[in-house]
Amino acid sequence: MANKTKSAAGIALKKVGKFAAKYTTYLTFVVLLVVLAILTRGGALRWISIKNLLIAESVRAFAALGVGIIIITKGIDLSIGFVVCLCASVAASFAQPADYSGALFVGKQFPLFLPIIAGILTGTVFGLFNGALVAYGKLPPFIATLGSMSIAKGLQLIYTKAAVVGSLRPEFKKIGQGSIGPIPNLAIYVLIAAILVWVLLKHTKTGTNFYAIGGNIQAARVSGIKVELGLMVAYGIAGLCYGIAGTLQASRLGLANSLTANGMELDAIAAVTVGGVSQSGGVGNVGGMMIGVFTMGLINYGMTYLAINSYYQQIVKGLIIILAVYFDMRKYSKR
Amino acid sequence: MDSEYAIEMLGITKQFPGVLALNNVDLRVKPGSVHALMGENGAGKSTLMKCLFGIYKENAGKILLFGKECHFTGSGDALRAGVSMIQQELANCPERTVAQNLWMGREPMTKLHFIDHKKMHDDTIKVLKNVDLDISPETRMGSISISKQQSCEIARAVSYNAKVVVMDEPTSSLTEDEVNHLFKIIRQLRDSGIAVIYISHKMDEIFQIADTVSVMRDGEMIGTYPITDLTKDKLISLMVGRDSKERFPDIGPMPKTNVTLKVSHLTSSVDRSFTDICFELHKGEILGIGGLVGAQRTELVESIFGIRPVKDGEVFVNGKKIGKLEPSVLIKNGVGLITEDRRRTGLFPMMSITNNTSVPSLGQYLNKMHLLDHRKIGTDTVKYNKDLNTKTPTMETLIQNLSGGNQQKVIIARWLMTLPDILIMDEPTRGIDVGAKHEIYMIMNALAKQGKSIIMVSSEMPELIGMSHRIMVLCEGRETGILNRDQMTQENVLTLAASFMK
Amino acid sequence: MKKALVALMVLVLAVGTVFAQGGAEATGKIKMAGIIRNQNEQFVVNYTENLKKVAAANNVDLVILDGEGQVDKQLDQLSTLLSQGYKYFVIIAQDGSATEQMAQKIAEVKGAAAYSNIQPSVEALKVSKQQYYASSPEAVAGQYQAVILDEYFTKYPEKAPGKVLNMLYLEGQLGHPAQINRENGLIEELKKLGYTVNFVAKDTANWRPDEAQAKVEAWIAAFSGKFNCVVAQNDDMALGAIAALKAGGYTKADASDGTLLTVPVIGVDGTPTGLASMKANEMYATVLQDAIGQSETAFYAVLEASKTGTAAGKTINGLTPPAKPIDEAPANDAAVIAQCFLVPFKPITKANLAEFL
Repeated sequence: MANKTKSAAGIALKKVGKFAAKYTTYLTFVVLLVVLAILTRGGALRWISIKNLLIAESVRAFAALGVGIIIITKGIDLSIGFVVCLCASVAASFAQPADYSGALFVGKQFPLFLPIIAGILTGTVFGLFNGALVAYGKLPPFIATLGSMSIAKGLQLIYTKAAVVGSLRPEFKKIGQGSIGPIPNLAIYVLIAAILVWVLLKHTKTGTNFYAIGGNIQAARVSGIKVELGLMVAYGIAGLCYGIAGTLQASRLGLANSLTANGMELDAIAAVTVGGVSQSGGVGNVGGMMIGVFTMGLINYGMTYLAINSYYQQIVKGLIIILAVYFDMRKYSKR
Repeated sequence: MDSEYAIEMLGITKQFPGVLALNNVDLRVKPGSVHALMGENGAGKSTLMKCLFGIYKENAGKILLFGKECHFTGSGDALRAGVSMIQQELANCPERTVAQNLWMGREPMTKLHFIDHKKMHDDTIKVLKNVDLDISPETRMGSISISKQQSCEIARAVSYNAKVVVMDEPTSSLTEDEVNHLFKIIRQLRDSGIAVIYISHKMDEIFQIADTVSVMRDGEMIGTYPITDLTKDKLISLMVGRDSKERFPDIGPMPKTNVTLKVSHLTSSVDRSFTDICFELHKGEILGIGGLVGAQRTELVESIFGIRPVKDGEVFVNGKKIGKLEPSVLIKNGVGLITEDRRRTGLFPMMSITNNTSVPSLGQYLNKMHLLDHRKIGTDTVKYNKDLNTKTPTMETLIQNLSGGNQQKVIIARWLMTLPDILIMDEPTRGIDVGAKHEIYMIMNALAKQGKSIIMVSSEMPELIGMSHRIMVLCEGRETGILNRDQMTQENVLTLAASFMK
Repeated sequence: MKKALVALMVLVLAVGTVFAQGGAEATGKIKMAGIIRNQNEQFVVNYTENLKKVAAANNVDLVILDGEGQVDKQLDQLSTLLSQGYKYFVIIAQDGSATEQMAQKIAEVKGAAAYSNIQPSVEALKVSKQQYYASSPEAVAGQYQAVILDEYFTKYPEKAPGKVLNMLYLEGQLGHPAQINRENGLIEELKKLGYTVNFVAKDTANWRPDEAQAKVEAWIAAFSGKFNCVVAQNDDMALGAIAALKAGGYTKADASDGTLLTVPVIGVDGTPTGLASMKANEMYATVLQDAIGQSETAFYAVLEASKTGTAAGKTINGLTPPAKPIDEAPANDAAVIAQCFLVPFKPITKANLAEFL
């Protein structure tokens, strides 16, 4: 009798566990939201807070979309931070006013599209470079992007002579700082990008193939997928995302320096991991990535709101990442 | 008090969520005997063994080693107690030497607590002698053949004073000579009083080596029999639970039709692989490819499909020469390949049945805006899997959660969805149970009757003879002959398969 | 199950919105926030600690947020604080270029801010009369370094024959106003004093002791015996250089000239570790960047603005804005000069070391 109730309770517990495992991502987000709402006495749920959160996380969201795609192909990208930094610097350098004596191109005023194009192009080129190293050079993504990380860092320092690229033109700053009605521009860009990536991953052959490549590269090859090309495209699109991230970061801050986006690779990788994109490849979706970004954002935001010492913030973030990966592993490592 | 049995597993029950994997199973193994454990895939053999080694915790029942109750906490723990497992996939460190592998984790030490390399070297030679292996202890493990690696593994077990040795499909990658050698070792082990639990699908082997046979089905122990009381047919019917007289469907005579695939003078870029292979495949024909391990059959079909490089030769599909041998091109021309190693080159383990089925044919399901038509993909994946009788809870179930036979059906469905004229099946029934095998044969026959051409690579002689209109035999990468239906005997196939160049 | 989740989220939002209505609180106390670029440098730590002390003494609620070296983080922190109703800020920006955006956000709520350590831009001060400069003109630090060098080499002319200084120079983060202006101040003052400055080696160590040590180790290997002084743009880097010099054997037994090293090493900041090094006869001298003075001036300027509307032109913490613009931004613009409280640097040498210990 006692035995029976015990097993019934066990089964119920298992069911709850299964549910929790399946929706870890969403549950984490909801639980955090509840905790924060209580701790801030509702402050975290006011529109102004949500708006601040959207603005704060938007650039990281672009980075997360990029690296999310790469992780789906079972890759990884360590170069994000410095590539975004380089893109921001390149974009900023073309957005300085002609009459600013500290400008990188003194006395030259470029049309507004140039910084945007230049920033995005820089990111895309770096993405394709990473892609070529991984797809055709057969380098492990970890090493390939570690190398390009260092290259991006060096290029940034050389290009800017290690100086701040600041005093950007107001028209350029408007791109990242403006808003349409109550909605910040940045949030709109993220929404559009998320929809586009969703279409890519869910509704195109190219995107679906990323899952196959990440799920089992050999089987993908047998299935007629041009694996090398697919990887190039994945890293290229990721680079494009970083380019946009860098351009927006420059616009939003009104400057770029060598510390811009430092450590963003870890933030982005952590966010998508929390969002259920598995490091074992072939698993993940845009909804999860975005939830992951805003989960990490909530943590940042809540801790700032509560003025918790940043040292503790680091620890809490670390624990959340470890937990997320722990559940991820449990979910997929059976057998 | 010593028991009559080396190992007794009594009333073992193991419950997984939703599945009763083992139901009150008893297994008693006597020392000094080879005890075969038989059953279809999913019958519970592996689960039972995992309970023995403590990898799973049984829900009920107890395990006795020579009459003493024991609970292992893993294979390492069991090994120290004298119960060892020779895995199907060998678990060694290929980059370390034979000696290092043998004594891993218990290296002999000098007084100063450094590794005593001299003793390790000498002990290794001593232990290897037990399994008739004459190799240097300093050889890198990865550089010797699978069969020798296996012997090393057995030597390792013996060096632990093993009393019980479990072997899971030990012959799956061995040549006939190697199998004979292995059997010799097994008999030596048996004669020295060790209890050997032998898990295999191969009937012939069981009748050669086993003294006793225990048959499992659907998580239950059906019974334990002396080998002398059994015949092949009886054993099969015990495993399947029904008679299997009709093992192969009637594939009919060789069709007199057009050639759909022509391979001429194909030579691999890899040294010592195949050279100068020529053959033709007709519409509606099933062409078997036979040969011993190392005959380069897989290499040949994978090269035709463009996965491996070729140096020379041409491939024609429906009269059209294929310019570049590349999977995407072959698929476009109506060729599909079901690879030999499902896990490595077939499955996308963490993807759903739907996605696993549709991967190579997505190009056919684009709408005007070049986006995927998910509804149509959905209905077609359901249709093909239904036609093949794939058993799955839902189409969204991850393929890794299906049994081997059902996984294979999903992969067949995958290729049928590309609407192929030619289907190359490399070991289509490997690692799947008897019942599912029969279904696969029926599917192959139906496809051939529909006019699809099939190339079947197989290591199982009866399958090769039962399911082929013609058999091409390879030996060491050379084509040694093509047999028509009336010439197909085991002897003929074997003769061609073993016609090595002097 | 998914539906349950959606329902749960909606519930949370609803409950939150209800709560949010009553979220604002009023204690009557002035709420002030310190937005500080990082907490890894001695100067910044001293500044923050003193800020807390002054706030407590004046019955002001103070929160401190650490920007971890990231401009975006500081901006996000500012937004968050503004959404919580904070209006008064003491800021050490990560980058002066970002101060204008900060000033605009603060001006939107009619708040006030004072900027220390990293110079705010002229544009930031122009945003409103409630934006203040509470910092020290960087060129002055360089000038003091020059004066200290002159004193040393006047006493020991044989160490710099022909008034030629062969200098190892460690710079802060490139592009940082302090990096540019401290160097300019040093060079110009040395020229005025009649020296020829020859940079044997000059590079950035990003304000960090470990980087400085590595740089100087490499320089010692390359330019052994070819330099007669080491100047760093802060104490942390000076201490890194000293570690390298000691390891490289640039020591002597007697400290009669004020240092046990064979060449004088000069820093900026007057941090406790820097002062300890001076006491141990290692670092020769430093220039105090007055963390106490800056933090108090910044605090009182903002406090004054919060009480009376503005601090422009008033005497704050004993300092009055100069009547005329000086050479260095942002105090070089007549329009904002009334908002600039110039906190003086102080040279620290053997002579006055005791005052600061």
